[in-house]
Amino acid sequence: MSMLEVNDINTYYGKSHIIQGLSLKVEEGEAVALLGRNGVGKTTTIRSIIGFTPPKTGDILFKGKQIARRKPEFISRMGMGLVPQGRRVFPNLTVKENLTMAARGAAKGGWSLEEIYRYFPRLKEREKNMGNQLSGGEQMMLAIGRGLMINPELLLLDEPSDGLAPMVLHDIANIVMQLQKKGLSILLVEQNIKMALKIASRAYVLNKGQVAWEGPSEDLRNNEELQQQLLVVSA
Amino acid sequence: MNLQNFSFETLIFQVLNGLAFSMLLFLLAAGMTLIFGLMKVVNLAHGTFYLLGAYFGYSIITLTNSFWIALILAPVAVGLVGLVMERFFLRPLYNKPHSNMVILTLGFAYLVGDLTTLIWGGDPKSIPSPEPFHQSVELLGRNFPSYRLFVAALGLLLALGLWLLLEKTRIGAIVRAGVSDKEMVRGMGINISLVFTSLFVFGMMLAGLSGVVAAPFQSFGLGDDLRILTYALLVVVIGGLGTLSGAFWGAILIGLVDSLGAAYFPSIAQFGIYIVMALVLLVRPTGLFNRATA
Repeated sequence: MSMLEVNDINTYYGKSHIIQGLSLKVEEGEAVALLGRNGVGKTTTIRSIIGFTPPKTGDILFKGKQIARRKPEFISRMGMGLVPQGRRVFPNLTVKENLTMAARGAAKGGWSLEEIYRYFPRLKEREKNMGNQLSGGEQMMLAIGRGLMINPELLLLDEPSDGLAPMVLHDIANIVMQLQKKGLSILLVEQNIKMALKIASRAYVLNKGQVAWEGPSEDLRNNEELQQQLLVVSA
Repeated sequence: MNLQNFSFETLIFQVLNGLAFSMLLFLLAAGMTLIFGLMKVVNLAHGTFYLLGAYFGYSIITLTNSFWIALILAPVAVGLVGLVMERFFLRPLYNKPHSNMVILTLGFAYLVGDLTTLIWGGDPKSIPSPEPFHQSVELLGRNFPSYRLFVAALGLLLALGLWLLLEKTRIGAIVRAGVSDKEMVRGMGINISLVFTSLFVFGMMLAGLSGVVAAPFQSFGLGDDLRILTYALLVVVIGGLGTLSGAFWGAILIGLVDSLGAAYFPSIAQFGIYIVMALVLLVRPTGLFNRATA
C-alpha cells in the first residue's frame, strides 16, 4: 500500500479545467518531486490533495483510505502535513503560537516543541516574535516546523525555495533530506530543479495539468534535453 | 453648557456612571467585534440578544427570586438561541455574499424583537438591584448606587479574562489564526466551523450577560434592542472592527461621552457620540486600534 495514491483526478477553478486526469504515487518513506513550469497545476495538485480545492472526479488514497473531497481538517488529522505556497505563517501569532496552535498528541512519539526547536534553533531564539516579524528564511523554518507539529506521515511541501537566499536554501534542503531519512514521506513541489532532484528520488513533471514525464530523479538530472523541453521557460 | 451645578463630586459620579455603562457596552461590543473579525458576520441582531438576556433574566428572577441564578442562566439560554441561529440560519450563508447575512441578522432582530413583545408584553420591565448591591454607598459625602460600582468592576474583570483568553490560550491563538487565514487553519486539522459556532455562542452569551447586568440600571423593553445596537456598532467602529482592545477603549470613550454629555451638554447629548465617531474616523478611518495590515 502506497502512502499516497492519486488516481486520475480532475480539478477545476470555476470553469477552468486545471488538473486533467493526473495520477501519481508516493511510497512510504519516499521523497517525490513534482516539477513543471509556472501554471501547469503543481499547486492545484497540492490543493486537491489537502482538500482546499477538491477534485471533481478521481480518487485520492491516503494510507489506503479514500480522501478525495473530504474536508481539509479531516485529511490533516489523518496525518498529512502542509507547508503551503507562500508559507502562510500566521502573522498575528507568535512563533511559539504558530507552532503550538495545532499541535496534536504525538501518537507515534513524534514531534514536540522541543524537538522542533532542536532542528531550528533560530525559531527558539525568536519564539516571542510575531509571524510577520520574521525573515523569509525564518518564515520557511516556521512553516516547516508548523507542518511537523501535527505529526504527519506525509508532508506536502509547496515551493520551499521560493524567495530564499542561496545559503538559506541549502539549510532548508538539508533539513528536508534529514526529515526523509527519519522516515517521513514527502511530496515536494519545486521550481528549483537542482534542489528538488537532490532531495527526491523520483520525479513527476507536469504539463498542462497532466503528467508529462515520470521517472527516477537521476534520469531527469542527466537528461538536459528533457529538462529544456519540459522545465525551462523558453526565452 | 450646563455648569450651574458643576462640582468635583458630580464629575466623579458622572465618570463612574459612564464607566459602568462603558463596561456594559464592552461586553456587547467584544462579542460583536470578535465575531466580525473571525466570521465576517455583522450581527445586527446583537442588540436583540442583549434584550433577550434582560427578559430571560426577568423571567428567571420571577421564578427563582434570585438575581444571581438569572445572571448565570439567562446568558446560557441566550447562548442556546445563538446556537440555533448560527447552526441553522447563518451557516448556509457563509459562502454567499455578505449582504445575505446582514439581511438575515436584521430579520432576526425584528422577528425576535416581535416575539419578545408577544411573550413579555409591550410595557417596560425592571429588575431590582440584587443583594448586597441594592443600596447606595457613601462616596465623597454623597450616595452612589453600589450596583454601578459592581457593574464597573465585573466589566473590568471580564475584560481582563477575555484578553487573557484571546492572547494567552491555545483557543485564543486558533481564533486569531482564523482571523488571518481560515483555510490554513483548516489545513492544520482544526475544525473551523466548530470554532465559528463556539465563538458565536460565546458572543451571544456575553450579549445576554450584558442584558441581565444592565436590567437593574433602568427599565427595559420595546426598542431597547435597536437602541443598544446603535451604541455597540459605534463602539465597534470607533475601536476598529475585529479588535478586542479597540472594543474596550471604544466602549470607555462612548460610555464617558454619553454620561458626561448628558450631564454637561444636555442640548447636544443626543448626538455627542456621533460627533465623537465622526472625529475618530476623520483621524483614523479604520478605527482607533485597527492595524493597517494584518
